[in-house]
Amino acid sequence: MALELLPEFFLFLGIDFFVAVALLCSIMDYFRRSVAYLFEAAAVFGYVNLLMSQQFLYFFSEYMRFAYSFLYLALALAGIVGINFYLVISKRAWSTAKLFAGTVTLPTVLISVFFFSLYVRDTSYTLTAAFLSSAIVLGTAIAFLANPDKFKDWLGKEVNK
Amino acid sequence: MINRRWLDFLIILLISMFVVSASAAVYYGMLLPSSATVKVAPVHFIAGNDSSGILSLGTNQTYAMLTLDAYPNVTLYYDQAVNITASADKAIRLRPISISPNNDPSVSNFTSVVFRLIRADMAEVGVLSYTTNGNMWNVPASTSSVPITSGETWAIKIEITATPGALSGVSTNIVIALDVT
Repeated sequence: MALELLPEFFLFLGIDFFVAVALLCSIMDYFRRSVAYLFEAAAVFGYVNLLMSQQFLYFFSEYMRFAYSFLYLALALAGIVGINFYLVISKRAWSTAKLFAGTVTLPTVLISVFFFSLYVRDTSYTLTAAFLSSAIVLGTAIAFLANPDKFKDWLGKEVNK
Repeated sequence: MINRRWLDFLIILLISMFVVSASAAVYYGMLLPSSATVKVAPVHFIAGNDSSGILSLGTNQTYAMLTLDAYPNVTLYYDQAVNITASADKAIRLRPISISPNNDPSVSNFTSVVFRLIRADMAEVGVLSYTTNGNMWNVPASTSSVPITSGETWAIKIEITATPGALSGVSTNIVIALDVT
């Protein structure tokens, strides 16, 4: 029997992402101490949100529950993408940014899209996301491999080696 | 500095473990709503030997309506007005719901209406005895729950007694519940 996803699953997913990012930020040199705690606080906020959603399960409509759950997940994803940009633009940490994009940003976005497609019961979202992601990764990889310095210059940044 | 970082990591790890496990538990709890599944009633009514012309069974045989006669100064017996059959081991009892009209002059035309729950071995295991007191019906208490075994068929025996000189066309409506536990 297929398990139906509740809208709160996106809250749960967002909490996991915030927790993972908080742990990563706590061991990476690029961030202040407070950043990790900030993400952890966001995860705790998500947990409180989940508790409230459980208490008011029969008062909130499904659309409303989906709206605030998905918004929370979007915030978590925005935080992850933001870290990626921070690493690239502010810290010029290209290698770390690439590693972060490949191991954290892309998988989290794909996982989110996958579960969103499960929730709406439409696999076209998954396929579209997979094709788009593959195209972006391929394009970025080619650009880096072909002429990394030119690509960095195109971004208008000095290479901080 | 390194120790401080690992201390931060440890604190965040502990909080994370709590948050993730607690939120997983909450979400799992939300996945278990109460559900109701429609099933065949384990105890239902069937026609008895005396049901012909008097019994009307409802959908799924979970409701039975009896239209019974009464004669002045006579006790009319329906040994098997309606039968009860079980497809699972249960306990059953008869419970009075309503009787009408009550506190009415027409009531005095009746003497009693008695419902007897007769087990498969013909033993009587419960009685609902409605008797009159002038214009009032004396409503009995529910019978005790008695176990019925799967595959057994029990009978409801009804005895109706009307007073001498009872008027023709007078009627009474009795509603009884068969509680199954």
